[in-house]
Amino acid sequence: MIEAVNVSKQFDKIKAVDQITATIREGNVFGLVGTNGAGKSTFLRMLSGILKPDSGSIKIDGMDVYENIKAKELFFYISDDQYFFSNATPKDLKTYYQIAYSGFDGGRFDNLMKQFELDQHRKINTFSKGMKKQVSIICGICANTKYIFCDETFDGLDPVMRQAVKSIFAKEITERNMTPVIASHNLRELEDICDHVGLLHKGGILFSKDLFDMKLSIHKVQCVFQNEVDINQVFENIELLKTEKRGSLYTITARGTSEEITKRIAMSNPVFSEVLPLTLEEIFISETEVVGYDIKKLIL
Amino acid sequence: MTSKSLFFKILIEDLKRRIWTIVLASIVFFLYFPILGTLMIGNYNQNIYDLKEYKERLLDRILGFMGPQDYMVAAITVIGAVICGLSGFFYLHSKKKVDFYHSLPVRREVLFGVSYINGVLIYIIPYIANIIVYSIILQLNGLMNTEMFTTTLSAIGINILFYILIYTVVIIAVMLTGNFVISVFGTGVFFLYGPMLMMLKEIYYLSFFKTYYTQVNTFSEMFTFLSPIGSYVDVASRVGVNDQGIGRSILITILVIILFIAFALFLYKKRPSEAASKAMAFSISKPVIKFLLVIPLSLGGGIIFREITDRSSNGWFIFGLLFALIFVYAVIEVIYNFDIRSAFNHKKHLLICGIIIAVVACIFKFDVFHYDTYIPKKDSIRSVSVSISGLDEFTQYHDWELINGSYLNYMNSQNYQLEFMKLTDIDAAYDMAISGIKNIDVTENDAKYLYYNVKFHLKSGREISRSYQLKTSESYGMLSDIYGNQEFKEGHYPIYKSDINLITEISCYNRLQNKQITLNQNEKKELIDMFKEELSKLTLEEISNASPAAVLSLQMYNINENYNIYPSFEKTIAFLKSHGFDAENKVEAKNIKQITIQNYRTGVTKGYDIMYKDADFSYSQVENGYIDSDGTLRTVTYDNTKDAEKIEEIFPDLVDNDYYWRNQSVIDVEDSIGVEVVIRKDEFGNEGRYSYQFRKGAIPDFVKEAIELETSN
Repeated sequence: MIEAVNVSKQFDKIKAVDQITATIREGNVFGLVGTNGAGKSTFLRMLSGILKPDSGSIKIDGMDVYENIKAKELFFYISDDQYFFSNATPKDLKTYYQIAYSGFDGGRFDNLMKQFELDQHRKINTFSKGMKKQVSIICGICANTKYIFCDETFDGLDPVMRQAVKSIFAKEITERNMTPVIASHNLRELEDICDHVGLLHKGGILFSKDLFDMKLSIHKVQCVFQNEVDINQVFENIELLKTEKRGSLYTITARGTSEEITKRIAMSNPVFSEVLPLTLEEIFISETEVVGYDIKKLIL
Repeated sequence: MTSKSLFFKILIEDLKRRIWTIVLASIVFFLYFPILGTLMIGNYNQNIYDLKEYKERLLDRILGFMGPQDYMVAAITVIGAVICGLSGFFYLHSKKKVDFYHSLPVRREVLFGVSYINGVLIYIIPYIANIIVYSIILQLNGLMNTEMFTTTLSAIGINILFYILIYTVVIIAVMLTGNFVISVFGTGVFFLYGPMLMMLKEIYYLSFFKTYYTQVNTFSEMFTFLSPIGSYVDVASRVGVNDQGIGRSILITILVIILFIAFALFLYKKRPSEAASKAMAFSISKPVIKFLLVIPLSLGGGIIFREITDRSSNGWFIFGLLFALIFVYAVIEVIYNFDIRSAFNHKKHLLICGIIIAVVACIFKFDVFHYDTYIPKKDSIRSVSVSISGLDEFTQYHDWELINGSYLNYMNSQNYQLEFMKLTDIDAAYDMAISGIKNIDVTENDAKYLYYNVKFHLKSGREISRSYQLKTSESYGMLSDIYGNQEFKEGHYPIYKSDINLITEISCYNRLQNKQITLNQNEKKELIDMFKEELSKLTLEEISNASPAAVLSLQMYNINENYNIYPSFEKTIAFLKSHGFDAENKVEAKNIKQITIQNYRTGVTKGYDIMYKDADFSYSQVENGYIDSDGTLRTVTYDNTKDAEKIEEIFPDLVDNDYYWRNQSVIDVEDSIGVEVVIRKDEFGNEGRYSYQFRKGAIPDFVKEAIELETSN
């Protein structure tokens, strides 16, 4: 488990990360979302022990991460602009990582390189941006660490590769309980892979919630009633996050289980009612509007 | 994986990444040692007509080539250290690379150790490998011997030692900065800061303090002060030449290296990863470095403006200080922030710098600490040394250790005298110092001055040196007292300390004869003791008024000690006569063929008129009286065939020009009158042409008339 408690980091006069507290459970895929400059990369660099927090603490499996080799052996960090030795080939990289990570699986590396149709003997600086990302991910997977930290890793991958990588991640999570922490500014990218999402904005964390819980506890309902009704009365004891009315059609975003909401509507004999699934983006918009942010300005 | 095997595996991986530096070092050393060295031997083989001499010469050359004094290898060492230091830790300037290395489960000590050791190996391996190759070539050519081997080993030791020192200094510069250009700048600062400070101190003392004593070897001391390159050159130049204190220097260097490595590692561990691409890696070091640069550079700016103006203008000095302060401060702030709008950030710092600079400038300008007028209390002085300019400046000085069996270390006369003279009877020297202080601001254009340095050796162990000037007319009495002090002579003339075993050759000469004298050890001792006894009785009056009969020249390996033999040195003269040199056979009127006297003043006075009218005559031609072809310089020639009587009258009042220049503080001459004397040396017609001067006020009337002296004055 990774625990960040009141972590802050300032660069000169700019607060990059401000009092972030978050818990990342094992076996979960933790998505770190936020706009550019929200502090995602800084937070990940602190998780990786590259940066020392100005205040607060970050512990990986109970160990402080900064300058702690035991803690660093537990993760592999893929930065948004991964460094490769000049003139190095993927094979050189494999050799180096085999030295640095005792659990590095060279055979798996060879297989994945073949699977992704990447030439191990070609110089990495001749690879495209997406190919370099693939090499980084393969290295990260083959390092066999408990955690893998990815900063904008899916950015630059084509849709097919993205799915391929996601499926490899899923396999690793299933087989060896790998815990990825993925930072991205793109919600859609994380929707089908993340279990838990933390939203960063201007260095602070707006919230950190379980995606499944969020999906179960918030719903969008469209309904038409026979007569004019007091909508607050209809949804008594249910928190309404957003209500819109166009003609006689109500579109309501409410917090509560699907059963509770359906039951409340049924009690008012609607002409028509339908509970619609919410996308991650819609959930975020609703949740952040609740805490006073205009999310449309923050994320895609 | 054990940490040891991890270390070596990463070491090898890191080495793979730095192939270019290995290749570069290998090529440079290969071209230098096996190639250039073999070319040297090749040249030798083409000139085999005198095999023995050439072999000796070639061996000497190769010894220099392989030895620690080969400055080409020193240059390669310095450049190599800078390249390896910068390239080995350059990744710290890149966020991308720092993220990569610092996220790895590898301890920072290991990362540091790997880069550090590889940087050393990159230099050492190609260097030693090529030295071995060249040594084999030397062996095959029959040029390898024990001396060559030990010299090579000492060169390897010194070069590696200072490579590591300079390399570590470069690494510290990289650690403290976050940008390549700033690292290079920082390296330059580390190399030059000490010498720059010393130079600044020297210029300020020279500019503001009239009694500041400038040591002759100040430049080398300046260069070596807190400078790794300066220390390198200093130690390398002393190995095998002057080994005194070399072990201590090497030991200190090793200790400094250990401290620097520890400091570099400390910085590496403490260095925040976010420092990459910033100007300075540590916020805490920013103001310190700023102050350390702004203050001396501003003071330097002030003094430059002061010195380049005609009259050492105070206005320009203040302008220079302010301009340099603002400019340097702004540049440093802009560099720190990479933003020109930040030029005047932290105005408080600017103000503090300004105050410190103003205080320092005032201390020098107004001599706040009374540097010029300070003289230690008499009862605090253990002894005094006095070095006089223009008093018997004939001999060469050296210290006592014979180096390599063939070389004595040359010493400057002032350094020798101030170091070895210990006047315990300090009254006369003290009075001279007080008179010097009283006359600090007195300068008369036409007066003749005595320039002297005084060094006070205090009981506390402190030493204080000052330079003074005093009119010769006022100083003569005190100087005469000092000269009469046996301790003065023992510090002034090295013969009192010289070891007769060092004397390799004795000769005597004057204008008429030159003879090498062969003496056994007892005779040598007898002569030297006799000479010292008579020298001890020599008075300043005799130096001023007499002309020496001959010169006693003692060759001590590379050093020549020369002493005048005065007519009063009767025992010495008699001893020399008994060994074949007759000092009484000296130049007299009968030996003179011709005397030519020129009045420079007429040349100058009338020459100016010509110069103004005719641009072809330069000022220097006029000043030097070269205009006599035009008839404007009054010249008179007396020839032995018709003016023998006049020559007899003139010659006793003449002073040999060489003798005058060596004793100009105690001899007064008519310096606007030039005298050239043609001396007949022997019956075979050999002649010599020498310059002489008239003693002050001793020009005969007929000469004055002939050269229009009265009218020209």
